[in-house]
Amino acid sequence: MQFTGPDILYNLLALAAFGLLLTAVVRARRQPLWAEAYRRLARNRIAMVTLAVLVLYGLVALLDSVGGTVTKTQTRHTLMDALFQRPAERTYSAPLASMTTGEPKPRRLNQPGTHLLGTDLLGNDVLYQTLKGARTAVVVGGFTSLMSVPVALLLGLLAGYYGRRVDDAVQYTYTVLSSIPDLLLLIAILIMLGPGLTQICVALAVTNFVGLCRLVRGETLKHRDREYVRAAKALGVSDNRILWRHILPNLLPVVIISVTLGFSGLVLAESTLSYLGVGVGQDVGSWGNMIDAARAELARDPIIWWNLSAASVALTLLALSLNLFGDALRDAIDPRLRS
Amino acid sequence: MRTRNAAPSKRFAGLISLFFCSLAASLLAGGCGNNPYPPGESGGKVAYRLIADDPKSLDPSYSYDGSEGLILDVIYPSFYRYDFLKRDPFALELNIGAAEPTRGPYTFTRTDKAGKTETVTGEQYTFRLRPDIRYQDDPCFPGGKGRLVTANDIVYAFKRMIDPSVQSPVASFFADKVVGWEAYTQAFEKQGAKNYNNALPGVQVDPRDPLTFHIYLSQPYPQLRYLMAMHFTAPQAREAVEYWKDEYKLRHPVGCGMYRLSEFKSKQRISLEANPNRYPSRYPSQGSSQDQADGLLRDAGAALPLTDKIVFSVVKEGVTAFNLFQQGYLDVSGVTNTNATQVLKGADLSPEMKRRGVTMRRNVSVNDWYCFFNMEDPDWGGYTPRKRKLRQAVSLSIDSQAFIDVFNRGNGVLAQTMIPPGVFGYDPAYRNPYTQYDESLAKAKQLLAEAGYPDGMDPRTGKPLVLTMDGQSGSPQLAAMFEQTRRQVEKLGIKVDLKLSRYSVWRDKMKKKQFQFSPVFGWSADYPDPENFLFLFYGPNRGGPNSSLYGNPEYDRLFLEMQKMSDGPRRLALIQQLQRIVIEDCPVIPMYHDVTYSLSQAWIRNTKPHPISNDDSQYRAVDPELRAARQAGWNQPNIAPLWWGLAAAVAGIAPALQVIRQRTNRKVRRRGAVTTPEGELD
Repeated sequence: MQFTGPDILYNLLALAAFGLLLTAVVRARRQPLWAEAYRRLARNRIAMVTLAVLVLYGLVALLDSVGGTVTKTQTRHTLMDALFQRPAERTYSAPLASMTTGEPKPRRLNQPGTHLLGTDLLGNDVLYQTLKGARTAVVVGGFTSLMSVPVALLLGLLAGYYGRRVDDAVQYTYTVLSSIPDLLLLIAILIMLGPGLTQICVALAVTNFVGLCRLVRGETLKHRDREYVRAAKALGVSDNRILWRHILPNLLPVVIISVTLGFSGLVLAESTLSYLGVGVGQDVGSWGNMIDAARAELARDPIIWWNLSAASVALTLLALSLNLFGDALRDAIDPRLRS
Repeated sequence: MRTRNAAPSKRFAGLISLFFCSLAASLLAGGCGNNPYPPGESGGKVAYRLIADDPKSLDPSYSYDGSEGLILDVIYPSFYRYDFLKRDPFALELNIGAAEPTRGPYTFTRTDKAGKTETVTGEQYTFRLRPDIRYQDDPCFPGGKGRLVTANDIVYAFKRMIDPSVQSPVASFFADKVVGWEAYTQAFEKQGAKNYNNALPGVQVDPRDPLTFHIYLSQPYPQLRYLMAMHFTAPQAREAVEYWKDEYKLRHPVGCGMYRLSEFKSKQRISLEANPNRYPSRYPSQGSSQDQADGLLRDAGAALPLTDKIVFSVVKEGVTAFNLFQQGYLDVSGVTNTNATQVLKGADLSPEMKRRGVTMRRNVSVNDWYCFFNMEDPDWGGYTPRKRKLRQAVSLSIDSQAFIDVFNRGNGVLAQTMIPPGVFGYDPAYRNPYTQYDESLAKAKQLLAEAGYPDGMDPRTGKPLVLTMDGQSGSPQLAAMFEQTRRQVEKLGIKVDLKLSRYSVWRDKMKKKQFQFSPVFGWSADYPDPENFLFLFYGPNRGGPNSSLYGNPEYDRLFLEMQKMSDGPRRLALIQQLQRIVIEDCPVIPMYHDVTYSLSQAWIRNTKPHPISNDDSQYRAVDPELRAARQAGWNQPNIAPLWWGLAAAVAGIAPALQVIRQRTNRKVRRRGAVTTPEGELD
């Protein structure tokens, strides 16, 4: 194993992303609003369980993001690949089975009884494939949010604060985008860009920023006439400072809740697009790809159910956890819901 | 004590009961019939077949798809047709042809691009059509009555193949052989549709007989007989093309065959009915002893077609199709991954299928699955011994049997060369030295070392040798096959860079020669002649069917010689020589030939799928009484699931009703102070 330039970069990026998230959480707890929210969250059992699930998914994604290059084959291997490194079986086998299935003459597996979720058509361990899907989901959700949130914040704040032509231009942009069915727009962008993880993030960012931008614009409209903003203006504070130092911090709770709830939508969208064959590509582990492959497997006789079940459970668990945690976060932050 | 507050829950329960009762009544009143066909239809002489999707085109000059061929080949008959029963070798028989064509030398002069004139001796074929062939009745003809088919209609069909706007996929078969083809193509580009009025020098009607036509070739080309059995060369009425315009290409074929199109319900069904103007034709009287034993000669000499109607149901999903077969609503089915366990027990039919009277037939397809290299690639192409050994090593790493087992449930014949079973030149005893997979890969690794890459490492860079594989994306099955190929080649220590791209992008890469290796590619025969497989390596076909861009002057010379010959020992020797050259140069890795199984119901006769021809519908015969009896027996209404469903619904609703009742009672108790003894609220 060796660490090439790209390896070091990928590893640093993955660790930095994880570190930044942790730092943000720790620092936020020092602020009164978030400290109170954390106390409320800590008392909510569902929130804690879902948070644990989300952390688990994050750690799995991290395991599959950090790695190096195998000297002999010159291919990148992550820690996850190292954990599951063993020769593939010949073809399908049921969970914990000792023989293959789907062949005219079933053969004994190389590692009988060790595949917890069985193996797929090419003999790959389904548990391994499912865990690899976690990284794709987290990367798609995270990277897309990283691209769409700043744009949505910037445009929403400017439109809401300045109004008039700026507002018209921003509204026109997102109204046009939202008038095109999301799926159609996504497929069009992906056909143009081609399959791939980065491409899908870009496509999702284009469709995803609209909702948040609309929300931020509305909230900014409310805030711009509030007394604290008027006071700041009267004191001669610049628009720039008002926007970024006064209004933005007040919008952050709403934005964070919206992003958390939107995250599950992004994960589901990636799976849908991969299922439709315009997603991350066949060479990237994805629950959508697994479900797509399972279309033929469900029609097989005997049915190959473990591939679909594993992908569906992993996907549902992540989406459900995100939604439940998002709801709990909203309950914890929103003063109207605190009673 | 009763209160009025209890009434809503009772009303709710009543509504629920009413809903389920009406649901049950509507299901029962519907007769519970599951017959998907119009009432009374399946009682007649109707054959029910299946297609996976609507035909994209019904233009005989353009359509190249097998399922479209099932419809087109019985509407547009060609000069020849394949003998329905004869295989190994396949045999042609006259269809709308009156007699075997006469052949003779044809001498003409031609001028090349440099202006040099030369005299060439080619070949002239003279064909004569039967005098009793009429088109189906159609509004495009005067009075709506189909007219006689003449040689002019065949010439018109050839002109349509040349017309660039038609985009005929087989035009290249003729382009370098029919005299004047290129010039006529260029004339189309200049004059457009007006060019149809000009004479085509290479295909002409005999001025003395409107039923006779001549084809003038620049070289001997015995394979022309096979091309005259394809729907591309079937007669077409110019008035039909001009009358129906685009409709003609999509859903209004006008032919002179055994059937005519009678119904086209998009995404549902396509029906063909026997053409009242059809020409007299008979079921074959000769067949093998196996055919005799299989009952395939029971209708010997009977007038065709044997059914009045063919219905093609459009069903995409394999599970749905097999359910229809099990219900008796489809006459035939295939054996696929979706039904193999139910249909087969070992290599034989399951007892359940036997009890139903289903019969099974094994069919070896005239096709190849193979991988190919780019012979012009600087790293993997070339003809030096080292480059040959490199490709041979990769060839030896491919475990084709694993592909057959994993992807085809063990159904396939390992390919030793590119010539499949049933085609002249196929030798079942021959073993290709570079496709004999050995799990230890000893020979492959030795060849790799001899090529200068021990353990797959490039000594110059100290890194693994890289092979870029270009495949088409879209299908998970294909993607899995490519991944399997990658995995197998990587066992040699070579690094494989697998790139999947959309078909159009992949095709573009092939055209621009920007590829190294393409895994798992299929080729199906247009006609059962070795030339149709060996031309995949003919130099001038580079960029066309010669996808590997193979170019070997010695091969080209021998190929041209073989192409002109009729089957015999000399031709066989040449074919073997050609194959040896290709095997040593290793531009392709032959993998396997498909084997399929077809199932037929007890009431349908004469189901012997032909690997090349698609006109077998006209030979099928049905026993409608037996079918009706079996359908009635297999489709008895089973309402038990309905009662189970109702019971489950009631079981699910009862607790809800209980909760509603409890809540209502609680409210009533709270309001007890204001409830009168009569149950009236104040």
